[in-house]
Amino acid sequence: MTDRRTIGISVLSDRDEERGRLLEVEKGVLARNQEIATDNRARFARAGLGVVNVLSSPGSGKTTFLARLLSDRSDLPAAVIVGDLATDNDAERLREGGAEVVQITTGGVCHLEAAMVAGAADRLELDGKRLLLIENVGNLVCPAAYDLGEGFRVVLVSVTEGEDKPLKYPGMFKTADVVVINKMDIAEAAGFDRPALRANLAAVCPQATVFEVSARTGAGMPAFYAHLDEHLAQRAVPLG
Amino acid sequence: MPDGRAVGSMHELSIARSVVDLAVRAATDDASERILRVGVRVGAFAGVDAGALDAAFSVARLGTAAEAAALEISTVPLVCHCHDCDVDFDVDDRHGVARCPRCGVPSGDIRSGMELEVTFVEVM
Repeated sequence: MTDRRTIGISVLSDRDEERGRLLEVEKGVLARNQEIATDNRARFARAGLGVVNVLSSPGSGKTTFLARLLSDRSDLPAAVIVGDLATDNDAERLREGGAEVVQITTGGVCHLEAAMVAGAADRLELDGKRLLLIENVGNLVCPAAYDLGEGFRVVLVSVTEGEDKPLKYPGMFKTADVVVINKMDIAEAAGFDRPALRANLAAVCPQATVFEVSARTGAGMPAFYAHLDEHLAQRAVPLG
Repeated sequence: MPDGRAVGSMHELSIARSVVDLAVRAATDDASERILRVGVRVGAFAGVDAGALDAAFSVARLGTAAEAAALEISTVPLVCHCHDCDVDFDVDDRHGVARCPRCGVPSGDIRSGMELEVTFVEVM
């Protein structure tokens, strides 16, 4: 085994028979997930699929956001993988829009893993699809560490959640490629402090591209679509 | 991260199970029967609470070669890189606001602090 060797003798005990040998391991705890995610990414790239992993707290509007996207961009053949702790409600809502939807009921597990996505993808007809949307479990902590093989990661935050959300969940926001501020239609009623949230995002996750939308009314969504189209153009399988 | 604690237990348990699996595999490959100690490296922003991981490990190890093993957690600070100044810098802000100490501009280029690794296993 190349990845482990004895690197020393423990000195924790005075008695020789209680001293162990130290084996070097140096392996990522989530290495298995990372391997499967890498396989997923290669598989999705071969299929010419744009893959978006959507994350947020419960109630930020992930399902509404995806439903709006599916309805506005019906030109993009899409499949959806929905992670939910227990229910099938979100999948039903998205299916109503005509998309092919597979539900992963995690049974209490707080995040999706790459293997779950691989299994769900097996149940989808990906041929001819351009877009695979993954609605992660509503949680801003656990899913951050799990690469699913996505092309980019969207973290959704709504105007009712408090402008300090990025400061409370930096681990998640730091992994975001895109941050979508949702429910802008009720920003005023909610007393939303836009400059404060924008400043917090700029401080915690300057790498992320930020969009302000109302998934309910559709306002602001075209700017996100332009970003998505740019991503898809890079993924496109050359004809012939 | 205090905010992670409320929803963190389930997460840390599955992380702890992976740690035990990796340790048991290393011990098995070494033909060792007993694991005394497992070392892990946890990034400050890996989304894992050290206390919760330790508690989860004490459960996950039961019934394995690591049954009596101790978990040794070393925490890695967040280190970011500033492109303008071309320097790496430690971030001690618990919210992860990574301003370059020279120019004050926040950086999203993370060089360490997100890792989650098993570093060593002590066997006998």
